[in-house]
Amino acid sequence: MATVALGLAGAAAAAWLGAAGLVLAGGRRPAVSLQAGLIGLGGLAALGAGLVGVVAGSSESLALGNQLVGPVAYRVTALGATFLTLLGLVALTAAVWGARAHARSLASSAYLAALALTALFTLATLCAATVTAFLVAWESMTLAATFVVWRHHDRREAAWGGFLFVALGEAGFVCLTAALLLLATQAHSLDFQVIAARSATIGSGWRGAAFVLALIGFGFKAGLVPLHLSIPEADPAPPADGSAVLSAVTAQMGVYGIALVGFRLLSHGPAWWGLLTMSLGATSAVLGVLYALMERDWKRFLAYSTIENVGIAVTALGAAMTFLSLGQPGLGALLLIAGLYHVLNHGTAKALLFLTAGTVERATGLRDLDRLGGLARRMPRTAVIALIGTLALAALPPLNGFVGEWLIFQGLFQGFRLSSHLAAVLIVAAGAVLALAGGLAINAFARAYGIPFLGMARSGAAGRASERGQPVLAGAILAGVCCALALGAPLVLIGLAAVVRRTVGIVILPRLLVPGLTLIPAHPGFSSLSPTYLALALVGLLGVPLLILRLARPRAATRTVPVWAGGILRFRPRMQYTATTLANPVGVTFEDLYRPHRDLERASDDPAGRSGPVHYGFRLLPVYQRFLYQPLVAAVERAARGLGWIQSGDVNWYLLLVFLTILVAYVAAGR
Amino acid sequence: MPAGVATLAPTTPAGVVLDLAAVLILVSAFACLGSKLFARYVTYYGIQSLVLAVAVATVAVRTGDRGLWVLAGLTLVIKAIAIPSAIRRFLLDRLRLQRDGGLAAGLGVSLILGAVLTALAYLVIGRDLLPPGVGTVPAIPVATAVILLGGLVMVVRRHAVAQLIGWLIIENGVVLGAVTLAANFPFIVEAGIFLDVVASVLIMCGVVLGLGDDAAGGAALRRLSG
Repeated sequence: MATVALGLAGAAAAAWLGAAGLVLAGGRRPAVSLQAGLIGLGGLAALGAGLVGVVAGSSESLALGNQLVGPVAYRVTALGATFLTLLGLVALTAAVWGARAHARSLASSAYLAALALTALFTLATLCAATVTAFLVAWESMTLAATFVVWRHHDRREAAWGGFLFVALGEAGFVCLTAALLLLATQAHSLDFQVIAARSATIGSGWRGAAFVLALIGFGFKAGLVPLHLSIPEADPAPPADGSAVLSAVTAQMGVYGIALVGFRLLSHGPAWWGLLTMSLGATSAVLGVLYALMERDWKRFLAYSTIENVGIAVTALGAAMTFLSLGQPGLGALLLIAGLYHVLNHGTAKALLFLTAGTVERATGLRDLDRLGGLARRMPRTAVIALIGTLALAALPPLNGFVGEWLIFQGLFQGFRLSSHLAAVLIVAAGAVLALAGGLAINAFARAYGIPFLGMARSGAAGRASERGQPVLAGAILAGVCCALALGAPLVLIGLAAVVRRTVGIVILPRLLVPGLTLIPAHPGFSSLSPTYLALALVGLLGVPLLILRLARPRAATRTVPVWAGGILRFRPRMQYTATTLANPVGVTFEDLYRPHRDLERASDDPAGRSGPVHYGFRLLPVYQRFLYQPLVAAVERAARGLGWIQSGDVNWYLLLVFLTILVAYVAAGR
Repeated sequence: MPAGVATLAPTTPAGVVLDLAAVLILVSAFACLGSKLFARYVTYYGIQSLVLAVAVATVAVRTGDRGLWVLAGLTLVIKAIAIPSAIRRFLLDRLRLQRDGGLAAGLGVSLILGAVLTALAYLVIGRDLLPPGVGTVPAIPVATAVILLGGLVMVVRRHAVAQLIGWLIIENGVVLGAVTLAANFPFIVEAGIFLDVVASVLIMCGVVLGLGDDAAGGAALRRLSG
């Protein structure tokens, strides 16, 4: 079994490498479909590798290093396999979507090659077993993903998003390299297993420094506020399959990194590591959803929602670290399971929604929520799929998102079992913040589903939308997976419990899962849930009104009359609520945070009411930009202006600087 | 003590010739620094290269190294003859360059700075900078001084052609130091340096001709900021 996972991972890598290499075959009619097919096959293999890895645990190690580059080894670990499953699923569905969606052009072919390379290097990162292998794979992943962002490099927002992605990615990489090299030098080994085994012997100062650096480094990728700037700019920029990979996989690689360092390399850290991680996660969750709520661009909305959901997963991981550190291994393991569950749920549903948004964009050419509407009638299959994804991501029962978040809440509300009052209060407070985020998320997703799919079309393009020929299958697969993750929650938990047992060595499954498909997360007297029966019951309840209608309907004659509408003769699309109006109550409530800038222009101030066209503009300057990035950029610019005299432009001056440097070197060497 | 260095001690005839050559090379570098005419720069550089060829030949006689003979020949043909005549024909004649008006520092100041740099070269080249056993070779501080003087020429002259001459002087200083320090220097390295010099002269000829006299005289070279 153990070698099967590694073999499947190798097969996935080969397929993706082949898909990337096909761009070189190029020519006038590039093999775009073949590329997409290979990406999909690779995804299938990676999915298999992940599932085998989750069940069977660590595979054998594939060692490749030499004297020059040091030890390079790859191994499928249980923790990596969890993310590998997600990578495989998303790559598979992205390929299914992309095979229908992309034109046969060299640009599409190059884009698919970049996408295949992103998947390949993500796989390499997940399987890396030494510091060298990990850092090289991580950096390559960032670079390949940057080219995915640059698919439409002639568009301003894509260029800017790609720049932010690569710039912040490099900033994170610097922190990450420092952290891992610090660990490697202190443990005298580049091998992850050796570092993990010797981590207890490293001085606590070094451990703390390495952990904080790693948290920052991975935080850039995960999009933890305030390190998240690239997510809302870069993730929506490429076509939907690229967005799905970036948001559902690449961003969540940050979560993988935090789990890798926090639970494998540096297990048994002090409580403040967990509390710090948890606070960052909770802040990201609530700020992410708050900014998502104000977003009119559908894909940018989804990207902000990624920040929220990654924040939720990181909160769970941080709380798990705290519980483990303060002597509550059962709760720690529970929260780790819940966090990983949430990663899977979010990845599935986010990929689904990005692909759906991409399908709608293909059908209408629109991403602006305020110009869509009424799509449920014109694109019924897409609407059903999107509804499933929306329910899953808004964490509403009976879908998978609910199960994951419910477990997280159950874990967080056990904070009172801790002996440390500070940690207890902080953990419960994090739970409260997540509850706020959850409530806002329901609001946000009601808006993001209702505005485009319900009501009347708000523009001609939305009114002419058609589902014919659009790529719907990929979303349907993901919707099926969402349902499976909910109905099969006990199975998922068995798998994740195995992962947690192999990662932190805590056996929790017998306590967590009792016969009858029921979960008891913390304490039998506290709470229990059977997601399977809940889902069946809720779906079954839908039948009740139908039954009543059928059995108890009075046999009266049917009469068709217009709806009474307050004297309005005809409904017009502009009478509907818009995305902006729907979000406005929240905007007003959190005005101190948003500090919005509103522009209101009327053509005339005629008191009789007919004012002509009204322009209403609404802009936000996010709080972290106001207080963190703007001062930072201003400081760098001031420093650059202060040093400007060095760059006078005179070649003699430059030569003098070179000359003086040589002189200084001579004098320093001669002393 | 390296084999080649032992035979070049200042008491042997070869050592004396080498020291003399080194001093002449230094003097010609000073002459360049103290001159204002483009034709003189080229002449002094030619003389310097000729003396350098003699120095290399001297080392070749003492060590019997075939590679050094080739190097001496190349120095004579390329540096003493080909490069000066190329600069004369392609740059000085075509652009009608005579007086160098682009001085960043006066001649007096330049010469005083040159003297200070020469003194500095003697001060900093202590025994611990050199490989063991070669501390008595006087040509090393001289070679260092020639390198620094070439750098000074590049700093105080504004015209691109004068800067090219400064660069070539630096290179002569490097070769002087190399053959005296390590007589059994691999020939392939020397050949590589030679290629660099020839390439840089070709490139500079092209660039300067493309720029034209006005721009090469410094106007364009003062706007090199981003």
